[in-house]
Amino acid sequence: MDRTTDEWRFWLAALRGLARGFTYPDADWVATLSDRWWPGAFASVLKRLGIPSDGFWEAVERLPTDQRAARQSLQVEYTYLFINAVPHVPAPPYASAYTGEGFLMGERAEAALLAYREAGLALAEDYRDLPDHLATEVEFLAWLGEQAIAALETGDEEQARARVAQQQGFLRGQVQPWLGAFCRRVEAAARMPFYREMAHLAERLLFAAPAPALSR
Amino acid sequence: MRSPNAPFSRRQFLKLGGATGAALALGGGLTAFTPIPAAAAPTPAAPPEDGLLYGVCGICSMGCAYVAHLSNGRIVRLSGNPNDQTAQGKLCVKGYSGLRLLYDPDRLKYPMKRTNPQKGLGVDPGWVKITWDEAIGMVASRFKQIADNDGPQAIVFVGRPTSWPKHFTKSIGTPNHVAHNNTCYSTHEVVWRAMVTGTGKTWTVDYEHSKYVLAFGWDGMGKSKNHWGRALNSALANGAKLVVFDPRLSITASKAHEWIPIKPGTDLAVLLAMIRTIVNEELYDRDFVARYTTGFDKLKEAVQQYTPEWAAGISEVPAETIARIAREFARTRPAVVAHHKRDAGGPNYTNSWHTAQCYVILDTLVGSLDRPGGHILDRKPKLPDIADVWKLPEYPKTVNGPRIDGLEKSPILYKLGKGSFSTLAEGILAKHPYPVKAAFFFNHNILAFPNPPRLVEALKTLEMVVVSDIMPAEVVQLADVVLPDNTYFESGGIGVREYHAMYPQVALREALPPLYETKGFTTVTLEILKKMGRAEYVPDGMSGGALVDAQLKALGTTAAEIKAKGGMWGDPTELKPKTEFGTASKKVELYATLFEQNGFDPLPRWTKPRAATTSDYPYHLLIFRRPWERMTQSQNDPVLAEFYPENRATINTETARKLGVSGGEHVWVESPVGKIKVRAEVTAGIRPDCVAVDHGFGHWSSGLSVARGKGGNDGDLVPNMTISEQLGAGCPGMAAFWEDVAVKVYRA
Repeated sequence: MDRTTDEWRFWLAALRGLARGFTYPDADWVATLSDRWWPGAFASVLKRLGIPSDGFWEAVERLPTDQRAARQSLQVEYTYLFINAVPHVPAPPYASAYTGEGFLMGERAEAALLAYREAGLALAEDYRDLPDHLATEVEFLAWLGEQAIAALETGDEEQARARVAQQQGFLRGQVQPWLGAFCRRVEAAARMPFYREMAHLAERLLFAAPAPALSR
Repeated sequence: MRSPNAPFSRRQFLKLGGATGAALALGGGLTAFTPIPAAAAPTPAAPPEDGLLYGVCGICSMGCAYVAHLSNGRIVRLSGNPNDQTAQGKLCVKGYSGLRLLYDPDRLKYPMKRTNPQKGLGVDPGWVKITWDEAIGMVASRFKQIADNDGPQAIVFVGRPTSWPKHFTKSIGTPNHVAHNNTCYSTHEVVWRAMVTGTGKTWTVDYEHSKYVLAFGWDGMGKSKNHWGRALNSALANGAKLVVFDPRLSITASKAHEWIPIKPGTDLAVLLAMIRTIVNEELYDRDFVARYTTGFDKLKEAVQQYTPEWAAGISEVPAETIARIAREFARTRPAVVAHHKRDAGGPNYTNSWHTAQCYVILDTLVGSLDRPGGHILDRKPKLPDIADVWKLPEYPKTVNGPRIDGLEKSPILYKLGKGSFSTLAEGILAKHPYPVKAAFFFNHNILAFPNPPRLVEALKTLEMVVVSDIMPAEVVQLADVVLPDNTYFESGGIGVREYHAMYPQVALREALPPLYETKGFTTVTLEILKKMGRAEYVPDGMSGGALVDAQLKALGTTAAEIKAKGGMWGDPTELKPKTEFGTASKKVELYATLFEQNGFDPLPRWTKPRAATTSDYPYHLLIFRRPWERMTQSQNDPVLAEFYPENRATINTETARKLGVSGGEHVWVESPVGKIKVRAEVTAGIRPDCVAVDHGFGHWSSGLSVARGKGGNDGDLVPNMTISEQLGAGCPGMAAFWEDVAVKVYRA
């Protein structure tokens, strides 16, 4: 495996972290934040990619030390930024909110759904959010990359190229067009640094993706 | 760079197995997705979710049938269902806005609880998303605790008095199911119950076949009840005459042959004089009166004092105009008085219930009650309800106890099972007749109440406020637990036509899978009942579609059959006029014995409205609705807001000149209980002694990103009441007296 492919793998791992970071902060995940397991893994991956994680660490350090308090503050902030809030939900994490007329379930939601289908995926039965949620789109990007690597490892270079093409197309056509506007809203509205830093990292990871190398 | 506090060492990282292990540690696998089995994989070109869904618009009660056009499971377009016998394939501007409600980014998406114990205007609730189990558990355990310790009456439910909400509140055992009717149509309801139906009121008028339509404050064409507008236009094209009494040049008035800018609150005087004219000049339908009415002689005697000249002195309508219109109305048949909720016979003035009595009398005198071109009584199909499908134990006797809004003290309205928004806040604050500990609001907002700030104070005293709603309206901001409700696009079943139901009509409701974790009210409240230990009221199968199945069976059809017929079922039998009515005498009771038995005037009698203008408050307040607004629920729609962002104070040109106000300038409209800041709209189309404010604006919930801070809420100007004040007004409908308010206006 050459260096570029290695970097790409770490990029995919970072996307996994990004997808988790933009998913609702449940108790199990907050526990891994509090004991620094999850931030440690994420920062290590970022380091491999040459992305500074000082701001991210600082945000983690500023979470309440008590795990229950940390969970509540993250949940309040997530609900406020991304679900419903006073003031109004400032940063709906859906592509459709930033394109067209700003309503949800717009053309971008349908485009995401079609891309998932084309890749052989359906939304899970217990998945209750919209198809163009940021965490879902990023998980899809990571999965496509992992599928490409898996294909490569079985010698199916054609399949690997197809998966990479799907991934790059989805990144450019589906994720990048709204990401900047979303991140600006998170920056402007965030009341604690955690999701502001996650938004910064989202931009770093999704606008400066390393080029995939398909040779083994 | 790694934080010095981070315990995650390079060694640990290597243990993960490099990038692959890190990916798993950070959040690997498929969480949002599931692989599509190869054999079942649909092609993007022909997804299974494409096609049409039939449904019924839920924006207003007109119940227009729609067709939702799907693309990959999302609705991309709405159109009217061309098979709808009444709406005839048309939706109004509000109907089309429903799609934007479904996909509004501000919509409530998940159950939530507040983490901030402080409540109030602009206070951040600190919501966190919770599971349905947690939400239902929280509500059920607190409700059970309250019911056990304080009695079920300590739980107040605010919502429409339809089947499932009634079942929920009765199963809990609380008498306090408080509905909005006293702000809407309770005056009409009690009058129709006492004089005609023995039950409530129907909302069908056969405008198409009318030759003379007389309206008092009725603005059906300006309410976007689209079939009424179409029907009335059709009547006008066929030569019908339309006369509108209204202090404001409403949309309907602008289409009328005559607009008569009557003094507010005096419609009753004109109506009494018109009745006198028709009776004395023997212009009435003698046959209809003889066959189908009681009390004519007493009526004739009672109205003798009300001459057109007398009425002219009160109403500022010339006596000859009153007499002329009375004669035209009686001679041009079929003739009808236009009816709908918030017209002059609605809950606007202390004398409005007498006005509503006069509507019935006029319709009766010209023989148009339940006759072509007149007011049509109930033609809905008779369908089974909850008690017909399930044999339930008797509800707790506590449901018949005294109410916090005092409704039982007004027995005619009480029998109809409605409620009083006007008296709720004072009842809670006074803790009389008992303390209230919790409230459950279902799709009703604080801004729909008179004097909302007072209700906020009342709700702040409660241990728990639960809200089931679609959007984060003001009441949601006060909620301890938020239960995100389905929209009408996500609720299946059937819709039975109530408005303009000339014959039984039913529309199919096909449901879109609910978005997010929203759940329907019935499903959620049945779970709450079970968790409260009220399982005896939730028999097996109740939360499924068994009630709808029973109703379809009663209609002799199936959902599949209705779908195959284009989403509509109908029984287009020719109108067979009723020869018996629902009163005790089976007649139309011009002299209403039910009123007499309950201590109210059996005949209409002139009484002055409550609020007179004074030098401090020199203008009459008028309240109306714009055709594109849905009460307080549509102002967050950015498309509607783009062309009408905020409400206005409509002021006469001459009045504006005296006040030094120009159109577009901000003014304060102030009553003895509150004031609102709105922009002035200056027009000759309103009486100089009136100020009109349109309803729906003045939202202060920050959860509404578009609507917040735009315009002012008319309800802030309207006093709420104690039960004594309410009863003292002598209205059997316990009306809110929305427009019985004098105000002042000045530059902001």
